[in-house]
Formats: sequence, C-alpha cells, structure tokens
Amino acid sequence: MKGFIIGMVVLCLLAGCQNLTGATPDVKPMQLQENAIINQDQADEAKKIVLSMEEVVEIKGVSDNDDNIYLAPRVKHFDRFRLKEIRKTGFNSVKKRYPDATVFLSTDQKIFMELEKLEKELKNRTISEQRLKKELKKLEDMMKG
Amino acid sequence: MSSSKGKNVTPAQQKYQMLQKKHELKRPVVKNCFRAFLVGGFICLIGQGLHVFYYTFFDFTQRTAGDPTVATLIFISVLLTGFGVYDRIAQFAGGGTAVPVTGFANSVASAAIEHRTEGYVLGVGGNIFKLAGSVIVFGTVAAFVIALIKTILIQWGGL
Repeated sequence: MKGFIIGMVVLCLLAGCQNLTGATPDVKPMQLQENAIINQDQADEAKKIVLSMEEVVEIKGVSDNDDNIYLAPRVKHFDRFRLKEIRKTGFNSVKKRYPDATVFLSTDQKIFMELEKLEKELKNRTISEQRLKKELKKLEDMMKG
Repeated sequence: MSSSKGKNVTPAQQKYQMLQKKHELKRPVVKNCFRAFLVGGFICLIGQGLHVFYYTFFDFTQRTAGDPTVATLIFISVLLTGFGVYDRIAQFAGGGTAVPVTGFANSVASAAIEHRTEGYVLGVGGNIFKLAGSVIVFGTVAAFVIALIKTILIQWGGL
C-alpha cells in the first residue's frame, strides 16, 4: 500500500512536468508605432524579426532616437539550454535588418520585466524622453554587468 | 574488512555471518532517496524563490541575483545549525540537506560550534574546515584538471 502511494506521488510529479515542453502559442508583441512619444518603428520591426524565431515565445523591446534597440525575448523552456546561440542568432538577424543600429539583446528575466514596464509607459505616454534615456542607460549597464 | 569476507572463513564464522545478515537492518535506500529528493528539492525551491524575489524587487539581474540568494541561504542554514534545527532536518533527509550549499554552510558552522571549547585558534580555527576542507580541495583540484583538459582541447584540438 505504501509503495503504491509513493509510486502514485512519483507518477504525479513526473506527469506534472509534461506540459512544459508543449507548444505555447506565441504572444503577439506590443506594437507601439505612433502611440509613443519616441518613434518605436525600429523596435516594432525588430520584435517581429526575433519573434519569428522558433525558440522565442514572447518579446519586449524598446528603441530610442539614437538608433539603440533594446530587446528581451522569452525563450521556450527546453531551448534555454541553447541561450547563447539563440542570443547570437537573434542579434544577427536584427543587425542584418538595421546595420546602423546598436542592438542590445538579453534573455535576462529582469531586462524583460523592465522593458515591459517601459513599453507600457510609452504606450500610456507617461514617460519623458529624458527619463526613457536614463532608464535605458541603466538597462544597458545591467546587461553588461 | 569486507575483503576478508568469503575467504578463509571457518564454519563457525560463516554461521555467525549468516546470523548477522539475518538480523542486520536493511538500509531503506529507495525511501532515503525519495526523502533526499523531496527535501533537497524543497531547499532549491526556496533558493529559486529568493532568486526571483531578488531580481523582481531589487536592482539585480537574473545573473547577479545569484550572489544574494546564496548569501541568504547560507545565513539561514547557519542560523538553523546554531539553533539545532538543521540536524533534525538532516536526520530526516540525509543527502538532500548535504548536497546544496546549505549543507556546506552547515558543515562549517557545526564544526566551529563543536570545537569551540578547545579555544579559538586550535579549536575553531583548526577544525572549522574539517569536513568542508576536503570539499574545497577536491573541488579546486577537479576544476584545475578540467580547465587543463579544456585548454588542451581548445588549443590543440581545435574545438
């Protein structure tokens, strides 16, 4: 009886992990376009490019007037083993589209959260250009750090 | 000890061995593994929770949040060791509490507490790394050997 219970618990634990690998539908990236104070065309386009990668499920991104694009994709669970490679491919494909821009691509959850916040603020027009620049500078340091 | 088993044993000894085997308590290996898995996993869950907490509410990234997480876990386990709670958990979970970083902290703190009566230099200082010292030595040596292998592979193997 005891063995049976333990077996059941193990089975439940193992079965619980099953759905993680299943295909999660891609979340459409927020297209800011003209809504924002600062033109986000570059970011919108870059988001589409990176999201077209199979491994990426969700993406946040912001760009500024100085040709800097900040991107933070969320990678599918099992593909996280190849994070380095994914970062490289994502970076290269964006760079190919915008050769003159400086692209920052990070798979860090913190960067993702911060960019999400910035995206929302840009959409609601509650952020000034100056503050955006400051926040992005902070993110840049974080990515390097 | 075990190498002499089965060789040159008198019938009396053999009989005794049979008797011993009959009365020997079997180690519940599966149960121990299961407990170690659960408790060790729970410690890691706490660690992951702390990790998420640190990068969500403070200025850490996922990469840098590892440092305060480890520091907090070590602090908690040293406290628990001092209060004598960690021993009880370890009694129940076995390897589950020894393998994560908390086990390392526990081995250092408990050695320090145990040898406090022998003085601070020869007692605490001399014994604090009694168990942890071997971990450090083998870890460093293994890292050195692996680094050597990696260097050789990259330099001459063209990997």
